[in-house]
Amino acid sequence: MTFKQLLTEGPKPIWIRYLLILGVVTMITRLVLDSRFATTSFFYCLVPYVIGVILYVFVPQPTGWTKMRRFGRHLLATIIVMLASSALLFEGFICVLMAAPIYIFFAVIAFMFTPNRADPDRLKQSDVFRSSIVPLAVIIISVEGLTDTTSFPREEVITRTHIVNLTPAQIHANLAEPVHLDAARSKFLSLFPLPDRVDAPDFAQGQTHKAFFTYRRWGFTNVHKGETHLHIKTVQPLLVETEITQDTSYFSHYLTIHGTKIEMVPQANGNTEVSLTIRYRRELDPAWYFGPLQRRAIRESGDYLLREIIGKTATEVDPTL
Amino acid sequence: MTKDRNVTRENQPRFIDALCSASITLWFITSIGFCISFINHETRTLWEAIIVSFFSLFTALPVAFILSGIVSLPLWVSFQYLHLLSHKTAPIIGVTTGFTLTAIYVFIAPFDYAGTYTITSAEGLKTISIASILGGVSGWNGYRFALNGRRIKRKKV
Repeated sequence: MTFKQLLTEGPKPIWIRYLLILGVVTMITRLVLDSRFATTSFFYCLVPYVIGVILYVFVPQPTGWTKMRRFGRHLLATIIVMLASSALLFEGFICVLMAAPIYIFFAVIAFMFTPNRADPDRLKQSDVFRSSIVPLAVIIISVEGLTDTTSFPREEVITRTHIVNLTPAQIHANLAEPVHLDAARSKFLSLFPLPDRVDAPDFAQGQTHKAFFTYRRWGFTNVHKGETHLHIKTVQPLLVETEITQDTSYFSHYLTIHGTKIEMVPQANGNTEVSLTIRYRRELDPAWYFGPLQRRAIRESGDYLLREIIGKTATEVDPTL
Repeated sequence: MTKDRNVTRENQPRFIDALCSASITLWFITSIGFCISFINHETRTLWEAIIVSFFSLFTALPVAFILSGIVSLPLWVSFQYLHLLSHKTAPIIGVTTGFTLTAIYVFIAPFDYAGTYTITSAEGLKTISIASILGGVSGWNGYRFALNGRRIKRKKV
């Protein structure tokens, strides 16, 4: 069997071809995940693009189909390979959900700017230009994160401010109470499992609180257990500072939280303006995709903590009034 | 087939002509950018920028010429052999050349000669992106210039 026959005819049936492609894709993904490029744009941009090219070359497209139909077939093949390789690699649903949009985008780009294989004029110079400039652009984008000089700033600081109908002493009392995270969260935050248990014996300077996480990657199995240790660094009447001293939870792969700061400014009418500042480091690239996602997650987490823990059982004053 | 290939080659510029035009285009664009950046500079004047740009014509330009030639020649020959060389594919050669040269520099050079670089700044990524774009523009203009020059020369002959 020649190479051309391999591309156009066999192996048959089609599911054998998919299995072989899946094997190659899984091996490529495993190799990159085991390297130091696992969190860079090389993995999240170039690898999906290469997978898209493999699918474009080796998945046969019936002749006579319109571009939309061929695109649909390519998209379906991309999703099948993505889900199957994630299962083989024991990846969790959070990784798959968060990486799916960028994965599909780059895999689809590999198809969109390549000519139809059945077209006899596919080596037109305009097609050659489009087919060549796109991989070059993807390669340039994929350089992000490989070294420090090709990475956008990773340290982030998010501050959320609420005005609560509590005094600073009452806020301290809230912080000293056992932590219950029963309140409903936003749809986006609900994707992320909460800690099973929070071990917080006392709220005092020098104490360490521990949160224990169980992340069931597949919803019911494939478990990752981890814990986060929160050291209470400073406890003053109007200032509370904490720092994370150990983090083996599931989200430590995506971002590294350094610590938090709670600043309280008493108001004249008895309310308190509470500002929660969270410092963290973005670990994943590209910054233009994971940066906004992580900022949103931290922002909503900050609002949740201010509403349900720090400002608990308070009537929150509308800051716009 | 051989006759067609010879006819096609006659309609294409020479590599050395395109490389010279592309290098001068690159020098011109970077000099303009350099001068613009010095317009409201705190300590330097526009006149100094113009003098530095002039001297770079004899210092930086030959270096860029030689390095670009080494990287772009295999690509040029490949495109020519495949009969794909045109004003549409010349930018591809330029982008690839710009990317290759700056990527090698970014990954090998320390970027932190004084040992004071402590934060990520994406300088390398910006350098690679700008060099790739400049390479594409220079490649396109260099090819176009050389091709027009060849056509004018052939008309005179």
